[in-house]
Amino acid sequence: MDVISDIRTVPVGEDLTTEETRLSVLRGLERMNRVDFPLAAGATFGLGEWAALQADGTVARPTTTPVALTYLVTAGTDRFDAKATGQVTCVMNSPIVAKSTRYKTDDVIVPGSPLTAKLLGTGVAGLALQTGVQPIHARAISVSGGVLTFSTNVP
Amino acid sequence: MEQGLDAQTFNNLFIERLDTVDGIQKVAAGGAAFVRAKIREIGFGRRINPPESVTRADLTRSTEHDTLIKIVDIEHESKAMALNFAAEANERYIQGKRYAIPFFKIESEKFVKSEAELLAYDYPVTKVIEENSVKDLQKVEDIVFINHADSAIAITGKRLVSTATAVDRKEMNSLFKMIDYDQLTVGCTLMNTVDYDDYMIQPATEVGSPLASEVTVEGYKYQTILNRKLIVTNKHDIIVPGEIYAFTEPAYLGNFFILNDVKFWIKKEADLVIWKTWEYIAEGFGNIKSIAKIELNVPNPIPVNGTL
Repeated sequence: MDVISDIRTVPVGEDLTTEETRLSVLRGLERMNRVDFPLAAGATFGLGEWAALQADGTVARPTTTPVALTYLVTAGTDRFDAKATGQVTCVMNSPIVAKSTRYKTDDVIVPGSPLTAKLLGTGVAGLALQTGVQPIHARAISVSGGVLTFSTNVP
Repeated sequence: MEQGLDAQTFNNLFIERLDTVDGIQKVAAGGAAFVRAKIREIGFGRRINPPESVTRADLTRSTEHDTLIKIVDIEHESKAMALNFAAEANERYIQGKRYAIPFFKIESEKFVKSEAELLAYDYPVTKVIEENSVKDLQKVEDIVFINHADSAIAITGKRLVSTATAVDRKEMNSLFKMIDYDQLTVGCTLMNTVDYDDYMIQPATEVGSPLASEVTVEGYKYQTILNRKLIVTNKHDIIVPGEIYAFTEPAYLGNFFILNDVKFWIKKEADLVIWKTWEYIAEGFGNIKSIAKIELNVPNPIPVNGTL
């Protein structure tokens, strides 16, 4: 190891008292189907990203062109269990209400706006305003303080 | 220890003991006891965040290197909400955060002295141990403590630069507010003796006649300032004049661990007495919002060509 860069090792490099904002499920925790998908070669996901199902049954980060079979990631590859299994955990076939900072902040999103999951300009997959024939993965409930609250509409 | 003996007699007995295995063990044990008692009195880091003794079983190994760390949890977020009778609150999947505190060693220099020269000292050898070992250890602890504090401040921005040339209640108030704003409370404040001297000469119009009169005669003899614990240090090379820190109570601040205890080693090789002291500690702040600092424009108290 050439560089020690763990910001959660003293001296701590982040405010650890802040709330997790990448994803917080507000409704549906008990009933949501949590499904593990094998990772496509080289694929990585963080909490609150979206994973697109591939033809071979693996999941990869979606491109800027959204596809229908895309699922919300509730446990990313930044965890050691994901390293052991080579899988990522997603929510499937169960609507939930959640809030996240992973969305396209320069889109004009209002309550009720249809949202689609795709690759954002920041190199992560999140929700953006849906247009045209793009699949609808969620609908906005509110946007406040850089946090989007939404209900999912996943297949 | 040989209480009540004169210094030369003590030094003589000290050397005689080192000629036997049993004697070495007794001397080492006595030295360790002395070190433990004294170091707790001196280090300001220990007064702000009292150390907790841990054993190997409390620690975790790293997969990356051959050192030890201790992982400590950070309190997770929680909240309540007002609801109609028919509604239910939001759900929260608990996602706690933790931080790792790495251990490191602080060691004194290895002191060497011939037994004959040791006998020439007019003060007990324990004084040498105190002055050359104990102070070195506690000073390094404090340097690391302040380095970590400055690292936290660099992230939170809780550093106020003031044009004031001396500390007063207004400056202390500005310092405390940086902590209080984050729903925390200042547990203690740390300043050096130069700023403490300045604090004592505040005019009666600022602190009131009774206190000004009292301080003029007896000095500021209270353990608190504005109801916050006051710690004064003379380590101006660590806390330079004009730099004043505020810290929360230890429960909101961070951790300070000592692995086992301070170790004292001594041996006699022919006519040479050799000894050193070391400890394994880990200290750091898990809540970086719990520290604030004010930097005043205090002039150097040492005059240059006769003027300040």
